[in-house]
Amino acid sequence: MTDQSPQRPSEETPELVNRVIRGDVAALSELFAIHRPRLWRMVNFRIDPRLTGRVDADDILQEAWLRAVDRIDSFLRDASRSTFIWFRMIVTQTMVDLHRRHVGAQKRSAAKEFSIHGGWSSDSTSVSLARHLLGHLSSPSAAAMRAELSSQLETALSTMSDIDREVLALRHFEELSNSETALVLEMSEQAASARYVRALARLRHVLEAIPGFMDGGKA
Amino acid sequence: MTERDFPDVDMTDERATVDLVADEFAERFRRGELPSVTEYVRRYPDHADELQDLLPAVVMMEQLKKKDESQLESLERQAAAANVRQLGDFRIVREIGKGGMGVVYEAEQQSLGRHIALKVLSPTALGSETSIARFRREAETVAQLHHTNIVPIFGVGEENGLHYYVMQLIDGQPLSDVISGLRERSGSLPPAGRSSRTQAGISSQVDSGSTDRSARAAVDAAGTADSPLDETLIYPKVNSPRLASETNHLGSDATERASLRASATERLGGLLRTEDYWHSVAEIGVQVARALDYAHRHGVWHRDIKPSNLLIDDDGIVWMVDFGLARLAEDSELTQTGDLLGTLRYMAPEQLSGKFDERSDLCSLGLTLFELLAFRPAHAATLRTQLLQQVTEARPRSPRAINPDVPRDLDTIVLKATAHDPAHRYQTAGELADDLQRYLDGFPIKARRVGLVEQLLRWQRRNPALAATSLAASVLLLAVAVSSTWGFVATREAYRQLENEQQKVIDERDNVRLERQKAIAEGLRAEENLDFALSAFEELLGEISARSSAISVDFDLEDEDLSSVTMTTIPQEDADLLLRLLDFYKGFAEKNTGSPKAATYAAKAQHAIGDIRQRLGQFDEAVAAYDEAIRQYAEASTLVTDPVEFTTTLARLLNSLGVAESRRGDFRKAWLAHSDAHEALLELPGDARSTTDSRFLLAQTLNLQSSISLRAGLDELPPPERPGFNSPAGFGRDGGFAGRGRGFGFFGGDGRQPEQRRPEGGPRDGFDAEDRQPGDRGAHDGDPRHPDPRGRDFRDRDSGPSRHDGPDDPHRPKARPLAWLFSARRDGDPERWFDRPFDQRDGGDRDREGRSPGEWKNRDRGSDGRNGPRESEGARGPKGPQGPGGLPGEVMDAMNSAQREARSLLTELVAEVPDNPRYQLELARSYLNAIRSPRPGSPGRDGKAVRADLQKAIAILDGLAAAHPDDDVYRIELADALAFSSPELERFEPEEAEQQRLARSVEIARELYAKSPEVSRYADRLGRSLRALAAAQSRSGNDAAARETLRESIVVLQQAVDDRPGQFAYRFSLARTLEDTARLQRRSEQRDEARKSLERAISVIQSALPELDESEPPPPPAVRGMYGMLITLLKVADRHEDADRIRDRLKRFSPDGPPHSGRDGYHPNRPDGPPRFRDGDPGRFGPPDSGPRRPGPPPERPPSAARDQPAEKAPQSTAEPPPPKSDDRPDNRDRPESSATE
Repeated sequence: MTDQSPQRPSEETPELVNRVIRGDVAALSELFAIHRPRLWRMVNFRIDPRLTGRVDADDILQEAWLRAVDRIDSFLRDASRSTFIWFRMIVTQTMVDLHRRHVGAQKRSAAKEFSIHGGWSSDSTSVSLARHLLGHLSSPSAAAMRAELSSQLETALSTMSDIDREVLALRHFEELSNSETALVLEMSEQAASARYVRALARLRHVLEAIPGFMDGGKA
Repeated sequence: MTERDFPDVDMTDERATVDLVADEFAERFRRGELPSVTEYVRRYPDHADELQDLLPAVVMMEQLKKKDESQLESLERQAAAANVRQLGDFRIVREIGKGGMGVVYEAEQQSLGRHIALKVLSPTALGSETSIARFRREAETVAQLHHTNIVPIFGVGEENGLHYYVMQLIDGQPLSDVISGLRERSGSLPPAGRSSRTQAGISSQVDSGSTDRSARAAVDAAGTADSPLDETLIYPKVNSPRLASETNHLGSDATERASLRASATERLGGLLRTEDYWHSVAEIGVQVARALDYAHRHGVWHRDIKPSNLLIDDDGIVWMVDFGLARLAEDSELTQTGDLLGTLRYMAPEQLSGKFDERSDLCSLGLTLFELLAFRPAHAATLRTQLLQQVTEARPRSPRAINPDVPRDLDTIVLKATAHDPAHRYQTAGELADDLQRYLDGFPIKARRVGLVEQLLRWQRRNPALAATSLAASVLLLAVAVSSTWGFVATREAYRQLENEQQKVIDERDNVRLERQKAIAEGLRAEENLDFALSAFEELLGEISARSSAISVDFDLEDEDLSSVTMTTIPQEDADLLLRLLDFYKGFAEKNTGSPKAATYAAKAQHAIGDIRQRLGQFDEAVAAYDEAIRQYAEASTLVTDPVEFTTTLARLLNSLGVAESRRGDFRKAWLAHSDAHEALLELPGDARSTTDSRFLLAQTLNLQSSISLRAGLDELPPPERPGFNSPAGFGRDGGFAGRGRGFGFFGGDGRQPEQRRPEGGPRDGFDAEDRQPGDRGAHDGDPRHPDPRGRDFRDRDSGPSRHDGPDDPHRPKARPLAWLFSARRDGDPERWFDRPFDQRDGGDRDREGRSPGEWKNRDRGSDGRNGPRESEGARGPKGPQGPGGLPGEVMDAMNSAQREARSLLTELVAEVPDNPRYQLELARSYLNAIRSPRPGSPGRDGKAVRADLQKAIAILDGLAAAHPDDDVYRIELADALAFSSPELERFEPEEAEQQRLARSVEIARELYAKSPEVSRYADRLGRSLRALAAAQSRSGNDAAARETLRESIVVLQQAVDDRPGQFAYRFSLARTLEDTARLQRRSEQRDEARKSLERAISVIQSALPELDESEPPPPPAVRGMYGMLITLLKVADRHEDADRIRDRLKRFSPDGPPHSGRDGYHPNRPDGPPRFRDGDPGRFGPPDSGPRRPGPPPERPPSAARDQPAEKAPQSTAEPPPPKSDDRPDNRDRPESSATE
């Protein structure tokens, strides 16, 4: 319970940001702590299953934190729009590098998987989504269906556009706000919002199209 | 995408409505709520189809993620715990619960063939070797505990790196489940805003009202997922078939859910709203408290009492689990907010700062009981930061405030158990158990309720820095709840609907607003909350007033000229708080209109608004609020069941109004208000009249009346005739005074509307007719028995016809004395009378009541005349009205008689109730009133009597100050009294005694100032006492000491001015001190310094004055008074052009000529207290008649003119406009006459 002392800031304050701009690492640490839960969630969502067991989200965040400290001088320039997005970008790059180190770049370009700016890529998001959507089928009977469903699901998801998938992932798995989503995807907030609604509808239809999926969820 | 769809959500055109809805929906999921799809579909009919389609997908994804996270959060735990099948002797049967600390399994102990509960601690819970060691130690300690209500621990073990302990398997249900089940049943809360996070709670809340298959499917799928937000160790499994019918019987719409409930819920649920339910809760409390007592005596603290750690089985036995385990969490790096939230909510405040003892456990238990009583958590925030704040800062809450059915004793017990300061709680669990048992047995409990005030004080002591802001915030929450409550009464159902809708739409990220909605929802439950909260606020208001000790809670009419000037003596923090309270009352008053009942509340609110305004120095607004309060109160009169209370309340209101009027400078209205109060009180029936309270109220009223009129110079006016004034009997305990049926209050007796109730021209009881002195009224052409002192003023106040007689009432006396008085004025325009320069009104009728002008002069000769233009001018000027002869004398007599009556009432009261400090204080004030306002025939005209009265007042105040050393009210009053001075006194009191007295005043003021430098009134008091002392020193020839004293005074007053730049009163004081300094300097030929002092005085005044803008309404009295002083100072400083320019500009505000004359606004020679320098002052800086002991000013000249007459040495400076020129006004008329005095 030591981590919940009342003094600990819970939200980003201008004062905190100003301290970071002045190069205060302690302040950066506080900022990082504020955004850590969402970053953790993001890593957890995006991490390649092949990495689990070798590195975990905490490792990645630790590494990303060190990089953030290195780049504190560019905070003012790069984090002007959103501190969270800045951290997220650093975390994304960290993940790309770790992927490269552990999985190797042979299969596909890590850069393709995690574009520097967007942090999303069609393939990886699709895979992650599928993995997570399947995750809830943990009952024995569901597990039996998993292999079957898995391929169906991936197929189904692949019918969605990259951006649709990504929007869903950002909004729900990373819990980004609409404006943050818009920033990450480099589109207007209006477009991001419209995308999101459309993607929701498509996901719903995609899932309905898979026999047993919605039923399986109910079980 | 219309506004109406989204009343509360931040609307931007750029986002689709569905997106916003989905966002909110998802947000609620993340917080652990389970919003229903149908609910949203209903709320947004325009998007029904879309939402129906899409929200289930949101549900699914959010649920997936949750599960996902709980699985991935700790891979080790997953790996280790998920695959456990066998741990040593124990074969895992099934998982029955999961929490942050680990997983609980049902397992079979194979060697013994029994089933036990096995808690396997997650590896993350035990981070280090030391914490593992500690876990074992703790578990072994707890294993020593043997108590009916403590789940026995059989042992601890370790297998393959997994630590676990073994305990008895309890077939029970966590109280958290019970509570959420009861909550649904009690129907006390709308579905949103839930905060309990037990699994059962979730799965049962999910489909609440939802018919959407997909949503339910998705959520049910998640049912097996552990909610990360709380740990529920033992999952309920009992499911009794008999319950469904019971549930139906209870009218719950959630039979399906109810079937999930275990029997405890049912059993308790069946008792809901019966006495037995409260008993059951108390029994639960007793069991837990006894168990805690036992454990505490064995040196074990539980550290994590909360509903989910208390299991209740079918026999009603409560079982406590997880003793001492919370400490492990402190060691570990558990960062899941859910764990913390679940625990935090029930944490004692001191735990957050790392302190813990057995009383902390009691607090947690108290919070748990709270929830059983109120069906909601005491700390309901759902965001961690908010929750932390609630836990640390919130003062204990009363379950009764939420659920008024809660028995008062239980409420008291919970309040005591949850007191913020452990020292205020039960000191042992045994005490708590005993008190609960007393409640069960029907004996009086030992806990005493803590008054709100004391609670606030406690809180404030804890948290002085936050006191203003946080308290205000919590006040606001309550305020919203209350203001919403009343407005709702009329259309309960419609409103409930509306609130529910609103509640769902609110921006839920804003937790304050969430709280607000909850508060509203709860507020809806009981109208009583309204009274509760109103009285709470009244207490709060009183508390603030008392705390700003320089202001007494009651009428603290300033005895100083300051009273008429805007003046705030409260600390800024209190001012802020008052402003917030003000917001509350304003909103409250707005909502409460329409019905008589509502009017009662509105009147209360307006009264409070007036009080606040007054304390903030906003007198105009205060007056408006009081007027409105009176109007509303009159409107509510049909509802009044207690006429005595009605009348006394009304009198208090009127007195408040009077004080406000006098402070803003309208003495006539002030006088009228107090007169009305007086009249109202006279109508009390005999028995009600003879109570000490009534008599005290009357005495206060009389005191106010006489001091007002004196200050205002109203002693020129006749008071309304009151038998009470002049009759020997007066307002006595015999109740023999006239109840004149004025139709104001409730004692007209015939049930007619007040205006119809007026007696037919005769005294009702014949009393006043017989006892009044013929001379009192003989001159009046009105019916003396039915005076209406309010005159037209009352109608001005829009007080409604019911409050007084219409002019056409045939039974009504033709003339109201006051109106008659006004019309007797030569111009016949009473409204303007006060604003006219007095020389116009005095009209050369010098022979007031046959006294020679010289006699009049005696009174203020040499005095500053600072206590008001009316008084000083009136006193000085032989200028009685031209009306029927003898009137002024009557007035004097009446006022003196009021004075005497107040005093004799108070003397009686003090004799009867010697211990009441308020009586004594008021008595002291009445002595001071007498001498502060010397009238012909009053003791104030005789130096010996003045000194005697002053000494009596000082003696009383001395006694009070000694008896209440912590209460600064008495000391400041004492300092005020000690600083008194008047020419009469001067002539009588030896110089030495005078200086000693003043020095004492300085000393007391200095102490007060040192103690509370932020209270500007203390600074002002000190500054003025110093100035008075300086004057005395100067008179005795010690100019050097006087200069020193003045120097200190300047420093102190400058501080007061700096602290409150907007307060004219302090500027007055400072400017006067500077002027005195200049005078002294001038006398010692330091001309340059003198000029500098004067210029500084001018700038002190000038820098605060607004520009005069002729397109604006005339400036308020205080401003006019300031201008008056400025003009005078400019003249003294030989800046005649500047003075004339300002004077000319002021003139334009009044077609009649200058509304004020300079000296009227500024009376340096007030009878009581301003320094007078010894004879031989160079008159340059002082009026020639300021020589204190000189017998008389030139009688042929109106005093103000005389005072402005230049001194011998500098005749040109102030004498410029030669005395009365009839074509252009006499000089004194040229000066702004401030009705504000100053």
